Amino acid sequence: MPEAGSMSCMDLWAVGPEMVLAGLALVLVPIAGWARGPWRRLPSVAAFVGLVIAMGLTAPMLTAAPREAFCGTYAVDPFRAFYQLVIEAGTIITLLALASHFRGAEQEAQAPVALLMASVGGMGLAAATDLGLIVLFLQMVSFPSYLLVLLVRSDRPAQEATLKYFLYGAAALAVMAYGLTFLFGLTGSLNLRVIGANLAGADAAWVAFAFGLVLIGYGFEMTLVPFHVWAPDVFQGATAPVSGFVSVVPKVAAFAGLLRLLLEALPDSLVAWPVVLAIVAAVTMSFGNLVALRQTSLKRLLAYSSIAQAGYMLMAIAVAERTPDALPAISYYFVAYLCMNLAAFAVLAQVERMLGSDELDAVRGLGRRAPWPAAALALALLSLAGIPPLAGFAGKVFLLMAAIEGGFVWLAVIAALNMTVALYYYAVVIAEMYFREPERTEAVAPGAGYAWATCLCAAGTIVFGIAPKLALSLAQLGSVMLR
Amino acid sequence: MIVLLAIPALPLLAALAALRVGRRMPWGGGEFVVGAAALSLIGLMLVPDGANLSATWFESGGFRLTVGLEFSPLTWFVATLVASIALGVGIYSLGYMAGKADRPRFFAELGLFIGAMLVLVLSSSLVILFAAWELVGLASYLLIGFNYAEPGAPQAAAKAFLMTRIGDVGLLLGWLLALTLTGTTEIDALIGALGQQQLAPAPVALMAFLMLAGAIGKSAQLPLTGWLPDAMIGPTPVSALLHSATMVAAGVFLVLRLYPVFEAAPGALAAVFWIGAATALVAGVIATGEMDLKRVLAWSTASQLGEMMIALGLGGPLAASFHLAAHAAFKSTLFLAAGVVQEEAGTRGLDRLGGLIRALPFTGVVFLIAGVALAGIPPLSGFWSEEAILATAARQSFGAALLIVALIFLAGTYIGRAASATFFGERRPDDVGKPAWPMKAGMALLALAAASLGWLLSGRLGSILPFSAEPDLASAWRAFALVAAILGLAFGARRSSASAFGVLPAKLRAGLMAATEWPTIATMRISQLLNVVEAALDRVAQGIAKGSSVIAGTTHSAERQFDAVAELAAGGVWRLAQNSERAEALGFARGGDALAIDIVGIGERLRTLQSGRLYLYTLALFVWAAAALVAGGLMLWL
Repeated sequence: MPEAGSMSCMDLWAVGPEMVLAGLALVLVPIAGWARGPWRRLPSVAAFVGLVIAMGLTAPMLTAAPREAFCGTYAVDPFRAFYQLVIEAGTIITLLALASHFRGAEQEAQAPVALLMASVGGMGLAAATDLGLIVLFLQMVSFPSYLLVLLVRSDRPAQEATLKYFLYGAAALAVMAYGLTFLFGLTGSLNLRVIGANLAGADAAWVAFAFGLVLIGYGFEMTLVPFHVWAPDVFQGATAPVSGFVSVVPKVAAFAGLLRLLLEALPDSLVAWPVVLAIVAAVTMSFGNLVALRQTSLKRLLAYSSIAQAGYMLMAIAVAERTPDALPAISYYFVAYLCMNLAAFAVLAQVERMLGSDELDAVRGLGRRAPWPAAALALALLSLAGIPPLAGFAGKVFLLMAAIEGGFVWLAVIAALNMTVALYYYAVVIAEMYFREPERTEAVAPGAGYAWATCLCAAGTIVFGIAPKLALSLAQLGSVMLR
Repeated sequence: MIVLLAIPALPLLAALAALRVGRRMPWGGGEFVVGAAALSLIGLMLVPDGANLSATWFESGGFRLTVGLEFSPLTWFVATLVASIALGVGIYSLGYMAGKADRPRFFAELGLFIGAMLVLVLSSSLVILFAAWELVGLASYLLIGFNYAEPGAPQAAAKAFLMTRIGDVGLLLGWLLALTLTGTTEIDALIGALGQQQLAPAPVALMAFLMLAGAIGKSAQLPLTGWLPDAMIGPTPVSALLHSATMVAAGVFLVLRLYPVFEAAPGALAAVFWIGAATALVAGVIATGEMDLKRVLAWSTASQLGEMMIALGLGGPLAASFHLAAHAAFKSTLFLAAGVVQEEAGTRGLDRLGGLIRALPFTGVVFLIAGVALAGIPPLSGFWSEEAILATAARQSFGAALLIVALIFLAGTYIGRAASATFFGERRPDDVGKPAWPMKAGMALLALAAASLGWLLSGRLGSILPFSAEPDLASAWRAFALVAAILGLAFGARRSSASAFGVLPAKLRAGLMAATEWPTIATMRISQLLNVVEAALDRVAQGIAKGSSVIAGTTHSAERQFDAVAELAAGGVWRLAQNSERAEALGFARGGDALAIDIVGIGERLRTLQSGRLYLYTLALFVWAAAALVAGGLMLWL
């Protein structure tokens, strides 16, 4: 380990993208407070530009040789670059949808600041290799997310959702931090790789205990059953674009963080984590899909759907050490998941804004009222269900392949069965849009931001589905991790 | 090569064209679909045998996923069949859909189906086959639900989609297994590896069973039969094309396409036989008691597909392909005729129909030709293909041959009953219209095929398809089968308005439906149960949240107490200060120092800054952070 505290291990370029976004967020704080009238648009524009610059700074790291920065507390590797790119892309798309959603409202200026802060936290979590930083960045993803949920302050469900989110988050993250202290106690180091090297001789019972506690924190962010309880209420209480953001960015960050922790600090399947995660994955996907079957609120339905999707992805994490195809599979799935989930939430935001409801009958006959948004939503749902040739299908194939290769055939069978069950509730929404006569005449709320967000996501769903090579080669680049 | 690609692409393009400009066309976009089907058929004649269009989709970790179309005798044969039936049904649909709402959507979905089905049969790669397999399922879902205003249509559509998708899980896992075994999705590579005995028997057997699950779902075999009769709520051309001739035959096609896999797994082949036998018998018996013309035909379809499975299970792929073709021709004809009956007489109920042969002579004759073909009367198509199956069965065992004869008797019974109830006896509906000419043309085309296909293919099919020919049939069996067919027809015709076997068919049907529906019901129950669990968890969470807010409230009130105490103290201090001020004023003469006043002024301003909005506090925090950042940056650079 390099000499701590010396200036030589400072490497500002290693945090270039984070610096840009964090600095921008700081600058935008006073602006967001004072901006009035048309100036309210300024933070969104600035955030957009900042995110594009940050993507430009992140992209070169995809091909960089893995190295450590800041005295071993921060990683510069393709893995981090890939997940940061996904987080930045997700933030951009949410930003587009939010810009339309809060057009002219008080929140128009405030939302981008919180978005930037949350994405910086997520990006940090993908790169942090130090227990202290992990705790810090987990809080940094969570806190702006609480704020985002509470953006519409007069909204009672939003208040309740925020309280729930906050309390759950506080408790889960505290438990997790407690678990991390055990890792420190067992090895005397905060560095993940040092922990990994020293943990081999440690008492397995204590390691298992620590792992169990740590999983709670990640499980909270990743909406794994039984730590998912906050998700349906939060998704329903928040405005739809925010729900989309919460369903993607904290999840991506937590998956990246968990992968780093497992592969660096708990190597060689210590404490049988593959089996534990496989069981959690099976429970999560089955529970999410089964509960989703009876939902009538679309945001709740998508909440349970995203719980189930987290289960699918966890399936590949369980085999991350057994097969080299697991990491690209998860990475690819995140690209697909980002496209299809954010498209669904963007259309839902338009519906919700126009009708003030996200119940199933709000989309009744949407195929006639608003053909293009309805088509985009149908596409997103079919992709979530895994119908070829959309991105969700290719993604599910990769995940199933990884599970089979990794020796969890039973898990692949459970997942495949789950995909059948899931088709039902997605098909119900599609049937509602196309097989029912509309009862209202309103289309959906217009907005260029919505349109851009939906188009980008729909295009991604189709293009990455037909030519998975495009995203998969990036994902393969991004599966190189500093170890 | 370009022709090969154009064969499935043309119907897909026609679907797009129908959707975009169908509204302005005289036939509502149907002309595109019919034209595309005709061109695809011509294309199939033009492409040379052995043409192959294959490319690597992508490679990942030693696995090569390929996409491609292939022209082998089997794929050519089935593709030609699909395109021909699509052409006939397409022409019929022009008349059927005339004057109906939403024609462009109908033809777009039909075009999507035809394109996807052609991809399915021509594909040389398991991944493309699976993608097309799912797309035909999607098209079927959309087409069954086409008349969504009709009660029950959306439910039937969903049921069909989901039940077939249960089988699709098997197919998905099956091809993933093939991919892990051979490293590629090419069907030829899989079959080649099997030929060279490179694969261990256990995974091959597992793969065969998984693929069989897909075939069961698509071909409505037991236990996934229930969706097919319900799918009859869709428009009749859809029933004719998807749910009798092509899509439901995809399961049989899958077994045919991967026949070497099944041959390498005797257990799976036996399962094919037993599942086929059970379905053929049960569905055949149910068909004799059904009171809805289209549902009779649907059960009959399940039964006939079961017969093909029997042939496959007994090692007669040639007989199965023969029956696949013959059945496609006569069953689609029967459906088209049933569609005319429904359109012109306004009902499908066998108890409300009768004597229509005088009102609808053309349709009646077409129905009778196809019905007699189904029953297996020479020289129509069914006779030849049933004979091939019987020959395969007789070679294997006496019992299997007896089963086939029993099935021939059942087929005669249900079709004789349906025909006599619809077209003979007392004339029931009075105001019966005339079918439009495209409907007649479509029916005539397919009826011609139903009549002549058997004679055309008999003896020649062996030279077209790469399967070994079935043995010759002993003349005793041939006579026995013929007698069974005639007896069945006569028996069925006499029982026209009632169930042929009393309450047995109805009971079987109820049992079957219940048995296939329990997984759905059980799933929904579990879902409800989990929702209850979830709600309980939620209440616990709310309790915690409320509890903590109560705690927060208590701390808040405690804080207020502290506040009051502090205020009291502050007041005391203030008074003390005032007193001291007074003392000061008294002690140091009156009036204040100008400097003191200034300081007080600054203090005042500071006070507003301190006690101002929360926002300013946070702002100060951010300014601090920014300052620290800038300072850190400067330190780094200096």
